[in-house]
Amino acid sequence: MLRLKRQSIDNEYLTGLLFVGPWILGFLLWVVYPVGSSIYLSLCAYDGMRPPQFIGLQNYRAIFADPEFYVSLKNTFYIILIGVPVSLFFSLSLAMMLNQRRRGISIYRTLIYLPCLTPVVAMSVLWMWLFNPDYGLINVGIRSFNGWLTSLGLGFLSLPAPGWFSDPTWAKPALIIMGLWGVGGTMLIFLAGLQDVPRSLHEAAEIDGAGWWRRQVHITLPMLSPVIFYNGIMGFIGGFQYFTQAYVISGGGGGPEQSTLFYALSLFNNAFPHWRMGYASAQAWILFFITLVLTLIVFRVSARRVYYQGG
Amino acid sequence: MNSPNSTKPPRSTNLGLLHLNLLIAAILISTIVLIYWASGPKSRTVDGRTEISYWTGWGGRELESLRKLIDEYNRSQDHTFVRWTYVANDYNKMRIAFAGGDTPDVCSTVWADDVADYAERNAIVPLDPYLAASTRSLDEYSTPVQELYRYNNHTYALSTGVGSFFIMYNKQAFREAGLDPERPPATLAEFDLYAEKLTKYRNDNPRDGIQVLGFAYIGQIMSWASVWGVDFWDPNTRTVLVDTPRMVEFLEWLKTNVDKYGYRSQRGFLSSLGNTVSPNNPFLTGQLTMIVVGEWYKKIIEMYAPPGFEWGYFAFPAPPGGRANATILNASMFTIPTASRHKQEAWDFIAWITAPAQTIRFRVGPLPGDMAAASAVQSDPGYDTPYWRFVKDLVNSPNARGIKLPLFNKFMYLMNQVEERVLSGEATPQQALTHMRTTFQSSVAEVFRDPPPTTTTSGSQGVTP
Repeated sequence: MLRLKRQSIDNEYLTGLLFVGPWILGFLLWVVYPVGSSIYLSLCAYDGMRPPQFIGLQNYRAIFADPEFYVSLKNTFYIILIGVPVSLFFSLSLAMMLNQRRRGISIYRTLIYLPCLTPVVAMSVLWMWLFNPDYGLINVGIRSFNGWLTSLGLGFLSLPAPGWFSDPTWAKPALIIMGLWGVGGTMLIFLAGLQDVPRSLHEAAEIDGAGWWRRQVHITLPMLSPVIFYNGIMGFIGGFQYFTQAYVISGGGGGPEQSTLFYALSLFNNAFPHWRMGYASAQAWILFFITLVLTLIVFRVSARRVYYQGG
Repeated sequence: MNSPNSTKPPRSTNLGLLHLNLLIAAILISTIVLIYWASGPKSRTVDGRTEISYWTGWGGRELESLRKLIDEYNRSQDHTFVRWTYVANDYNKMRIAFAGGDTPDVCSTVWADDVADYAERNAIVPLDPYLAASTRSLDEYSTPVQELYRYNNHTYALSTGVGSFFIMYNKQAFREAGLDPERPPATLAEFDLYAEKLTKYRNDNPRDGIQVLGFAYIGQIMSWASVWGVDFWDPNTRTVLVDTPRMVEFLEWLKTNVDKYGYRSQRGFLSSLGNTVSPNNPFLTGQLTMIVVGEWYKKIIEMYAPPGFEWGYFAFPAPPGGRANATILNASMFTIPTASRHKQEAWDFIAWITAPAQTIRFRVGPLPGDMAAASAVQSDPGYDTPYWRFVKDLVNSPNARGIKLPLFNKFMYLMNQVEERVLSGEATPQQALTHMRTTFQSSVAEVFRDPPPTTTTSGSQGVTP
């Protein structure tokens, strides 16, 4: 009896293992092994062609002594601290606008979500044209607007029509504006969150005399806080991985004047064009620790500010 | 044995799932084995010939000519069969292939300035023993072209063509600016003056932005530095040579000229220009009146220039003490990766395809589009025009040289930063160069795993003489 029971448990165990086997294999091969290797490679001089040569912590010391490390971190934090909040605000505003029972609202929702389906490379190329200093739609629009202001005698209110991607002052703001085009995904999550806010709370507040603004601040935002937090964390982690747009726009160089040299771009340049896989592995580990520490801090700080209905 | 309250599936279901899993696992394993078998390199064709793989980056007309030549080679062979693959013109793919150890037997997807990187890492093999045992010889090429193929006293590559850089100008714009269109600038001072005269601003007001730029000084740091007589690398001491008074002098000249038009406004103007390979080409639309080009640019003009477009050309004007008729050479190099399993067959194909008889059909054809590398082919009547004679003289000039140093991409990346930092006023030339030297030297130290050579030989010069 005991033997039979034991055999049955063994069979179940084997069946379970077989089920998760492909995943375990993939996890070991494509996650554990590369992660383990990159720890070792971060301690080596390694160009991808010849066997790695152990050099201890030399890569880490070199990274902290390299001004490019600080420039790339500064640029990355710019995107995280300015780009992410702007994007969250924009997508939340859109979601609130689209959270209405209007005729044809699903068409508007689809239209706003559509740009998300554009590949990032194609989107970046398109925006390079839109931001063309001379012929781009944005500067042409600004110049027309300025002309109109001047005709009204309000020329002093004219807006600048900068070089955008050729101007280090405007390159990152341009990237943030470009990013707003793809907020459809975040907007959709906000929309789902907004539709989860109980209508009864709004009705009760309305009866108590609360206006639209107070209801948003005291009901919608607290009820939506887990969604805002989730989107914020996702944007935060995405900010640390910011690469494709900068790569396309700067041709990989991170210009003008290193204004679009983000951490991930610097890492890629060292790993591939510059043949420094060991150095890039060390950069990856530093990035991992920065992201981990900051995410933990954000979790800690936000613990009291995020309201979960479940308790 | 299951109790009535148990949520466990019955034993038969367990066994069914087990069988299903085993079946799925078997299908997966067979698929992986099949894919591996199907994608792996084959050594022999069905008729028993040795099959070699060849990667080319040429497309369009060149690929068509190349394909015909390869077909001809395959027909003539009872021992070898060349299977070619077009890998687009992104030669970075070669790096990934080399890093993965999955390279073709022959590739022409290596730029001349990448040869040092690959050679230093033993990723490509020296061709000297094959050359010595064949009827081919480096003597078929002029000295600058020979040197382009060599690194550290070894020949690593051969090519069918060779590229160079010089300046083209718009004759109509010269006329409109009161300059003689048949007399391009002969000195550097004259060149700077011409550039100024050819530049126009919107509403004749520099504040309104550039309308036509006489010459874009930005982005040409390597060509100009070479003209100024700057060497880039000393292979004997393995040190970068850019931190010199001559380089400082050159950067000061560059900054003076860029400042005339404003660095930011010039860069804004350049970023607004249309694509080179299109009718919006800024040289053809008249937005740039003098530009740095390669010999291949003639094809662009023939394809997209408006009717009556007149153009001329001249070599970079040199400053006093600089190098006259200087240019930087480059080429798509035929090399044999170390991982090749059929090196002799790979060499036989390289020797055949780069031989003058084939080069003449590939490079010259009915109308030449590029300059052939072999001296014999350069004498072909197809090249007997003023333009091609000019290109030929430039390519074979004693001041024509390739750039050969390890970590070339890193070097270029840092040189571009030097240019940006100096032109934007962020650093003085000396500060920018000192920083560049320190950064590059620390990176390049990783490349070498043996002590530096003690002897000096002409063949090992970082920049060919």
